[in-house]
Amino acid sequence: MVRLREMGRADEAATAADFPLLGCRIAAGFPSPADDHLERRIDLNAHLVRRPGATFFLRVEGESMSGAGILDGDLLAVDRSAKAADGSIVVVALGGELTVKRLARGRGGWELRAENPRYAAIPVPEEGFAVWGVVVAVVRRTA
Amino acid sequence: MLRALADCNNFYASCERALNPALEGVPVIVLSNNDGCVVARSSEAKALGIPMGAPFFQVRRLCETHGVHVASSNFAVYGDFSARVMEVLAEQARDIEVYSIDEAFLGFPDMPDAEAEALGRRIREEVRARTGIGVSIGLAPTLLLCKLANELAKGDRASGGVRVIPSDPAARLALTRPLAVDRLWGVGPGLASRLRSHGIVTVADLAEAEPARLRSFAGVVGERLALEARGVPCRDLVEEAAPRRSILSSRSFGHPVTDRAELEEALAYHAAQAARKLREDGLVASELVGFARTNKHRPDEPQRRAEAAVRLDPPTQDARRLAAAAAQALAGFWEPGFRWKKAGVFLLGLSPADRSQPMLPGLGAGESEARRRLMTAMDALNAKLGRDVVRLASTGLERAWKGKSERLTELSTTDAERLPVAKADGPRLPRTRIRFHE
Repeated sequence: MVRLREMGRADEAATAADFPLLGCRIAAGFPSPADDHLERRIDLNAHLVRRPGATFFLRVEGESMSGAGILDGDLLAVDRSAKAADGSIVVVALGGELTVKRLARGRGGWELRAENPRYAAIPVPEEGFAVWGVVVAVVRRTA
Repeated sequence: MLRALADCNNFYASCERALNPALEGVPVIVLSNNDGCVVARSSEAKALGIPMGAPFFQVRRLCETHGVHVASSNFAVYGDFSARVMEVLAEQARDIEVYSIDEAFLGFPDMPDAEAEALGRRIREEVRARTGIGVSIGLAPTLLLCKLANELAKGDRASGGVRVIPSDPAARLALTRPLAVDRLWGVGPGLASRLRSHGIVTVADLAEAEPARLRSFAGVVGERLALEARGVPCRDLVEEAAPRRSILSSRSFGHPVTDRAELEEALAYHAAQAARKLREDGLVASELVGFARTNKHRPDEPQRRAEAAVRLDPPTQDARRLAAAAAQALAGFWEPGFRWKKAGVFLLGLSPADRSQPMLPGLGAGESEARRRLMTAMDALNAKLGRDVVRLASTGLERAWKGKSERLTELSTTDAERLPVAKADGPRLPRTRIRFHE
């Protein structure tokens, strides 16, 4: 029998629980006036990922979405269960690859748009196309 | 109570596909560690007649001819997908027994039969939406019938992956009348022929038979089968995992091993792996069996399966003691002149660490406190820094024997360095050309 085991995913890796709420450590002396106001530190996982079980992380390759703030090498949090709508940034399975685009309704029907003037939009093909998930967050380290 | 068996379809192959859309519609097989045997097949690969468990070299030709995608197993990814699927199932059901990496029994008290089918479809949709993995769901009043319903769901495309065997006797008998009794879980050829000789040919026959009569010629097993077949549960979900009775760590080598030092290193490695599992489960072992075997697919080479057991007194979970015991086991069976293909370590006589009796003073001490603290420190460091960062030197630094899976997807859903890629590089617009009017 296999037990559910932690897999080091977004919801289970280092989270706010790793930072216990400690008040003033000094036993004697004055209690800190901030003790009553201590709150948990910000948990980025909880902040960025609403549905951890459905969220997968992907690595961006290319510049076609730079106008949407998605750069080469960025980490995308992609929710497979979220519904795509007009304007959603989506990951689609296209020609056997996962591709990130903006889904938008154009004059001639649904389009997959790039967010970079050097790249073309493509009409949503009738076949061989599926929305893999909706991009819910972009993660980039700057140092 | 309504129960269900949810079973992922072609699980490992489905995981490969979930991360790689190029595999949609393409036959996919997954190979065991070190690319030995076929351990999973997509439906297209099954249709090509690739048998489960076949050594890869026997089907390589077939795979090349039909463009089969061959993947090395990637258990970190399958484990993550399994946990995600089980999460969805645990949300949907009140009771859950995770039965294996890709199947779980579910319990739904107060759920009327009339809603069973819709419930199954909802669960299936939810799992697919969140993970991309397809599951088949069989719903029924007993686990035996759940398993049968699941087989029916899998075997029939029109079912849409969900089948219900109702608790209403008339409907249930009508549905199971055409089904041969050997389609039931646990009815092998021997039992099936004994049942047939007593006039029990179909599942419905079994359900209608008097359980006491069954016991007279098919024992308690037969009686329980008859009861479960008629909708009376004899076994219910076990939510708590049963305590382990043994721990195995073993693996095929990347290349044949002939050197004793190399074999000793591999055994020490497996002893340390098994020790880690012991500590994770809070257990100690009182016996270690070290073993090695040659390649059975090479009849031209001398064949041997060798093993030796070592008592562990006092019982232990200490990687260093277990590695030493593994070396002792090797000394017990080592013989030069063989090309070893696989080696490993079995731990037996497991008991909870907190209940293991310290020996009387002077008659050998229990596991020393210092040893225990060292292991705790090692586990804590590895939990923080990554698996195997702190390890026994005897388990090897180079680990040449380990070999490499050639077709490893290298993808991970849990390691930020090896994530799948989202392409953002096309299609480019043509450069604007400047025209000169003359």
